[in-house]
Amino acid sequence: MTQNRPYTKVVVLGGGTAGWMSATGIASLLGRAGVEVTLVESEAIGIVGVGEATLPHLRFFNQTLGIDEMDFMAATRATVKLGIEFVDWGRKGDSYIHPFGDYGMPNDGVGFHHFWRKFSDRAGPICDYSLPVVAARQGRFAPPSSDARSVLSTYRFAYQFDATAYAPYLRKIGEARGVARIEGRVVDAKLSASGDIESVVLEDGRAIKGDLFIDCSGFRGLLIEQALQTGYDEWTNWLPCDRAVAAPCQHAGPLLPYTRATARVAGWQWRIPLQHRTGNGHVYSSAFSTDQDAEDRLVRSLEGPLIADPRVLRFTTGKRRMLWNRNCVAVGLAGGFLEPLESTSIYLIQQGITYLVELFQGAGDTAVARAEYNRMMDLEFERIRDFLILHYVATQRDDTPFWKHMTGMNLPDSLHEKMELFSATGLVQTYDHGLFLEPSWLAVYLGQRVIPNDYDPRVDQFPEIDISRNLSGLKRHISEAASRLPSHAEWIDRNCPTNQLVAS
Amino acid sequence: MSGNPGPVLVRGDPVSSWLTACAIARFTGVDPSQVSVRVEASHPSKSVFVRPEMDRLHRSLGLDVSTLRGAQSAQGWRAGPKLVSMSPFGASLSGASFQNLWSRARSHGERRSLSEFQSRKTTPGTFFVPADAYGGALERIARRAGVGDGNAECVEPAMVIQTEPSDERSDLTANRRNIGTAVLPIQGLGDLRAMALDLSIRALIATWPRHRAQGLEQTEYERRLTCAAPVIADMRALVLGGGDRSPSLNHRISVWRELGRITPVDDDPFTAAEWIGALLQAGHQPEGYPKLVEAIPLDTLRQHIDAHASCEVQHG
Repeated sequence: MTQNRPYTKVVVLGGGTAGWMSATGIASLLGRAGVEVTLVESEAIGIVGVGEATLPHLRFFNQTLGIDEMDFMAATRATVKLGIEFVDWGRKGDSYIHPFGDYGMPNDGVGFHHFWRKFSDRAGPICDYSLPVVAARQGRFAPPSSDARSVLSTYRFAYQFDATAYAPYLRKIGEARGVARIEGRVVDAKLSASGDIESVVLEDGRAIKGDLFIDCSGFRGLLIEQALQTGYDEWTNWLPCDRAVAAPCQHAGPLLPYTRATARVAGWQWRIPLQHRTGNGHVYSSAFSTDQDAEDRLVRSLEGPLIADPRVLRFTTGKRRMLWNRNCVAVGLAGGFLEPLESTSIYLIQQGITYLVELFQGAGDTAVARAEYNRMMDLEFERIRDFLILHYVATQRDDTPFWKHMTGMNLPDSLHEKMELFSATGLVQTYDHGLFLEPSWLAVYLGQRVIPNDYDPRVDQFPEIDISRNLSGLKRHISEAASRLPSHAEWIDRNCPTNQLVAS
Repeated sequence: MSGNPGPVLVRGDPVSSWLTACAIARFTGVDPSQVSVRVEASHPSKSVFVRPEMDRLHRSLGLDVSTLRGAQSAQGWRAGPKLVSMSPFGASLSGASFQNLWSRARSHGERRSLSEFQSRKTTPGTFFVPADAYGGALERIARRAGVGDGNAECVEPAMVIQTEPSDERSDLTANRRNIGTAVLPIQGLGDLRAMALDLSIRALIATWPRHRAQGLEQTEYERRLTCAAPVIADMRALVLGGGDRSPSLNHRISVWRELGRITPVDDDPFTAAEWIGALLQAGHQPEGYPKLVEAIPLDTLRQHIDAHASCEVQHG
């Protein structure tokens, strides 16, 4: 039992993105409540630096910490991200952008896509009705308008940044807010008689005691798994990719405000443009490709010269059976791994910290808080998992053994039902709590050729001439508004060039 | 015309059945002057509690709610002695909910109960209306749109919509929908009748039969209400007491007692204030609070709490 002890000392194990987000977040929000934060890391251990591409939620995390956005973007060599372009997913030659924004506007409670569906033979692609897609395709960007009546208020943005620069950036803030950093390699964890973690032991023999331990030790799960043997739920039957090879290269071409995910013979490849380089990687299934073949495919496809050797990562898709077990919370890769197809790694770190801060008590039995934390995090993981699977099964590709395998596999019942319903009716099954809501599901369905057979019958109440006029007017309005935005590169140069600002 | 299942029969109490018929005529694309939409109304109930979320439906039907409000004012959710108000409890501060602030203050000597901080102002859009006035207004709107009496003609319905629980076997039609009290577990919570109706009408309209969907809309309709039903059942068990509690209600109560947190769940038709009110009435006080609250200086916290004790919370 973990009870009747005040949790005042939090020990964070690991100094990567998850570690410093946790330590700085907790120190910033709970430091004045008497919570002490110690972070243990070893410079000898490299960091994975997950998630060069992010989701818009990270902006709110940074705002909560009081981070100046332009300073942060300059320091992490960040560019803007308006969405993700998916290439060759529905069929070879296809391309669509999953934007951070809506398509059109609903009318009298009826979703825009139903109107579009009725006129889909004349209305053109639905992406023409999304400002972030049109702006992304034109390579343009300006921050969204705060005027809710403006079409320029219909999108959000995220960052594409150097994840290896984020942790050092947060470290400066965290240490200024009281995070005690200890350099050292953890070799053991001591458990109390109750089974809780009492301390972590460093290579030099020092023992670091704590009340709550945040395991950010990466895939190893030094505390959550090696010490507490929490167990791991594997989802490789649905998401069989288990390797990634990453290699940065020099820029070529314009600075694009979006990430690209291109389907490959045994997985997919990412392209993330930063200010100073392009991040690239190839996620693949070792059952369908050798490491060497994957590396060759990646290197052959790069737009510019390599600037570092390719590096292979191995992973098992899934999550710990409990993200919070006893007095240990697993955050980041220690908690689980979902391939970065939708840039969810840092989002999951952020949610893990947010729920922990919401539920973290000063004293008492934590069983209820743990149950609630695990319930919420399970939902986050499972809903992202289903959305990722959708990309692999909503496809007409069967040109390689990998794609044949993906399109032939058994789906989770919940996903099968969702897809069948959308195909037949255009209805999107969604939920109140979780990451990907209706516009995201629509983006992938329609982008990957899952076109519903029918539309909401209420659309037929509107005169066809009115719908047609509204559609063409909206498309023109969006195109004109996007074309008035500055180029992405100009906006970066004007606001947050990487050679201008550094974190203070 | 898309989505025409054929003749529709709505059967049940006057408010539920006329409201459903109005919504069908207004939203589904079915034109009652072309396709038979009939109502078989049973005996009226005494009054109906109208909730804010019904405002949009009323406005879109052209129903002047101000005339109904004049019929009988109300002070929140009060028809039954065990039901609770929707009015909020205090206001949050620096990301901490009011009940958490109050719990901390209580551990430092605060003597007032949490209930004393609930706004006494009626939540806009909540009021009771006599069922005959409400049903009558809805009937006039429906009839103007061409909806007829159930007995006026004997056309075999292609879709039957049942608004009250019934043992009658009428599931022989291809399209059958149970709505309102016939599908959501609000027995004993009479005030929730309109809420159940509103939830199921919204689901009914969104899943109205398409041309080519082969019955999937009915499955989706049932799924949507099946998702809301356990949450309503938990509220019912909390308010009425007795019987076994579900694991989800036990979890909700534990989370409330230990953390002062209203558990967020999907398809929850109730507001946080309703859950707080129901939990308090059932005797569950929040005993703990998250550490985050201790980041707020105690003096600031006390001032905030005092401010909400001495003046009414403004809400719109």
